[in-house]
Amino acid sequence: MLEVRDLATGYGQAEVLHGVTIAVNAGEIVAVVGANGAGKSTLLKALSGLLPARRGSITFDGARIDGAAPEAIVRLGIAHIPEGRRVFPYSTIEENLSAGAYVRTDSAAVEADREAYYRRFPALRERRDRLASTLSGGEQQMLAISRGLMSRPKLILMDEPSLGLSPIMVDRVFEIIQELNKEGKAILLVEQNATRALAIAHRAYVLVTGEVALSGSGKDLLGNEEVQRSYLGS
Amino acid sequence: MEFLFFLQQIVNGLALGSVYALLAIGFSMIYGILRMMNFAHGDLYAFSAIFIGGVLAQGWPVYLALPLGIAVGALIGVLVERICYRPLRVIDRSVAIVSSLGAAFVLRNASEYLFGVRPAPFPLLLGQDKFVIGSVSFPLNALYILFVALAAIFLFNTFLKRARLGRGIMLVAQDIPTASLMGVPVNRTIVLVYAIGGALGVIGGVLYGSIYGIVFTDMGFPGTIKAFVAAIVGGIGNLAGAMIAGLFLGVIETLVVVYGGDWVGLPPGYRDAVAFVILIVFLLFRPTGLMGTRVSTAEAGTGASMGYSATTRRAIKLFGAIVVPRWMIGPAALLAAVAFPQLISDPYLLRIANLIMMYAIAVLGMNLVLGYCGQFHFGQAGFLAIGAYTTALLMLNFDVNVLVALAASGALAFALGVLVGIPAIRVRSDYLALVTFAFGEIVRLFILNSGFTRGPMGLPGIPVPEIFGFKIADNVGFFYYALALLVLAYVLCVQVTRSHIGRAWKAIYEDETAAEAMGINTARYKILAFGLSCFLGGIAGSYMATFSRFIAPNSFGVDLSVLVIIMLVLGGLGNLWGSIIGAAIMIGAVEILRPIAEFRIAFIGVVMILIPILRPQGIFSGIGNEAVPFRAWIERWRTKAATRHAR
Repeated sequence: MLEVRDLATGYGQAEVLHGVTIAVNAGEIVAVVGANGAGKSTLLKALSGLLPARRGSITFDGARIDGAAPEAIVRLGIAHIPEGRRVFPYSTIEENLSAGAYVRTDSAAVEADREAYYRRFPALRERRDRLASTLSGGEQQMLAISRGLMSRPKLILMDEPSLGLSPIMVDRVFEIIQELNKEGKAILLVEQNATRALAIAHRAYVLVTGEVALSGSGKDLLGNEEVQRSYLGS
Repeated sequence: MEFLFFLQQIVNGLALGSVYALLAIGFSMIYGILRMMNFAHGDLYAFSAIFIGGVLAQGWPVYLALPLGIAVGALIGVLVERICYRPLRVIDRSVAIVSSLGAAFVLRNASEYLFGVRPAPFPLLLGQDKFVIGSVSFPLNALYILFVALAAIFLFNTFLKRARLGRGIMLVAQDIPTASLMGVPVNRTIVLVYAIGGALGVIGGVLYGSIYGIVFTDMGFPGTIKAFVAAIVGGIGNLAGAMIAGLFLGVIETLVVVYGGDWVGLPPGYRDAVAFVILIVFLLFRPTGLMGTRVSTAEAGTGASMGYSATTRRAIKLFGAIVVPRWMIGPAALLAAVAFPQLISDPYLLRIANLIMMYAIAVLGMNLVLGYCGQFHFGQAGFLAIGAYTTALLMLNFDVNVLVALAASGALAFALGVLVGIPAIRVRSDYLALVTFAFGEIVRLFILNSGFTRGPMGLPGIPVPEIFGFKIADNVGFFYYALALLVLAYVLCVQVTRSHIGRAWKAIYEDETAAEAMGINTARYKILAFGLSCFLGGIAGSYMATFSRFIAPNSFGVDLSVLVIIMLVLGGLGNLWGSIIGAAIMIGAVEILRPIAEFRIAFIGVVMILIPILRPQGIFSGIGNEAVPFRAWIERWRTKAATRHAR
């Protein structure tokens, strides 16, 4: 479904990714773990078009998407749920959800989808007319996820969805990820919480200073001694 | 009766306010989205209004002329975005302001060139019908105008709420990268905002022409200022607020003109000062506007927050790049300067050299506040004026020695500079630019409207200065006088910037909050930066008075403040040598361009647009960064050789 070959990108003069090759197959949860500054978020930004690729290729469903604008990539079916949630603070919950469906023109189906997410996250329905900035961190994360799903993506890129959340909310987020996966969505998950991410991932990559150091099934990496020592702190 | 007359003035004020409201909405929207002040907004409105007036005069029907004019306005808006703003989205905003002013200059020059400087007639499209109650007649067209403005604003607001493109605008205004992740085409949306902003401005221009029957190039800049004031008072990004504030501003202005003289003895010449006073009061006490704000605090994700400032202020090592030992440069330059009048006797060149040194002093001052401390200061012209008038008045009326007058000018400028610096504690960046700008304008308007300054006639016959018994009467004398002042100013700047003050400024520039957390009393250092900056402005002004022997308020307009800033940006922020060189280049360019005087302003405008785009760090820093000092070059060569051997 998604194939990334030898991808290099960065900011200004600094190259952050030096030739990363990864793949996500349909129906998979793929985790990317690694230390601060390894280039995990940068990878997602390059995939969704926020950062231009400097080398290498990105192919989605057989079509090259490196060099495409973010708004074009959304239309192809990739949703990027950014780090730190980034809800639109001065829009209401409802407007935020509509924003997620910006590329869609089937307004009846959009309405139905919104209702579906309200059912799933009743807290959002209760506050539908409030500004998104008034939500708690966990609620904002639910909103950010729902907003991303409103474009009906085939592949979801999630950047640190558990960051800064309470332990209960962290559990809930990982539950949701698995639910979405069961509904048929492919998920590329970037996480600092490597133990949890590896536990639910079918496959995973370990990123070290902009390069893939290790890859394998989630279970294997979880059991790998080096990964244990370097990233899982045990 | 009295009340009906008052009511009539209110109606007139609302008509004028409608124009301001339309301007303010476009301005507020552009600012809300990109956090960039569009200084070209008013000139766009003037240009398009004159254009429509001209087309109508050619006999075009209204229903063709208006859409054409609105299209022209929208197109200009789009061009301004594409050329001046898009390349600068992620760059330090002090340079973006320069490029926006550049666009305003180009438009103004184009308007003067194409349409002439004289006011052009504009047909009273809304008729001159009046509605009479008793002996007071109400102009009906004022009511029509109010209606047209409200309708335009209502339509636009509905567009923002309901239409897909409108919703896209609201998303982009909040968070640009996330909006693009939602599939909103960011560039196209921003272009759309500029186009709509331009179109609304044109409608404002048409309404203005329809009330007053004339349109002219010079209505542009005041238009920008009114738009900005209304946008601030209404709360940036708050469109309803901008509208109400625009109407409010129109009413207040009209009332001041009509009643100001009777009530508080205010001459009508202060009409424009009203907007500035309102602006300053609001910025100081309610920077979020009358009704608070929706969009302006959405700092997250706007391109501007990605800041380039570290690059911008990379120290410029122009002279470090030359193999000549560094310590020799200063004395060598000084020696060359001292010998200059002996070698060059051409009075024209000497005059230019004197002008350059005068400006350099003002630019050095600007460098302290903007280049080192990072505080916007757009009122340097006001301080040159304070210095010039203090010196002139003291020497003319009290026969004071020039050095005493110089000291008094510097002291007064310093004191007032401290006063202007106080807002810097409360307001930041663009708002501060406007407060200081407004202060400069108030100084000019005060001089223009006061008796003891002889108003617009200026002060002629400023006596020949005498220092320690030497009369400074010719260009050579003034050359050494200027040189002495410049050297002192330069040494002052070097000493200050190398001291703890300079380090504190630098910290404030990089991150004010962090500086405060480190225990730096940011308020005190910011005020000091303003004081010293204005002090040097006052010194330069004092020199100007004695040198040119005649001063008039016209010389101290916004253009002067802007010129000083261009010189600074040209030479590089935070580079003292650069300030002198920037002054030299700009004065040189102005002289060289004398033969094509009609395009001079446009040329300066183009420079202002290009410099920030091509070299945001100033022209010279690149030379220093790329050319490697000799020793470092050797070092690098050795390392290379060593690695080769290792292989």
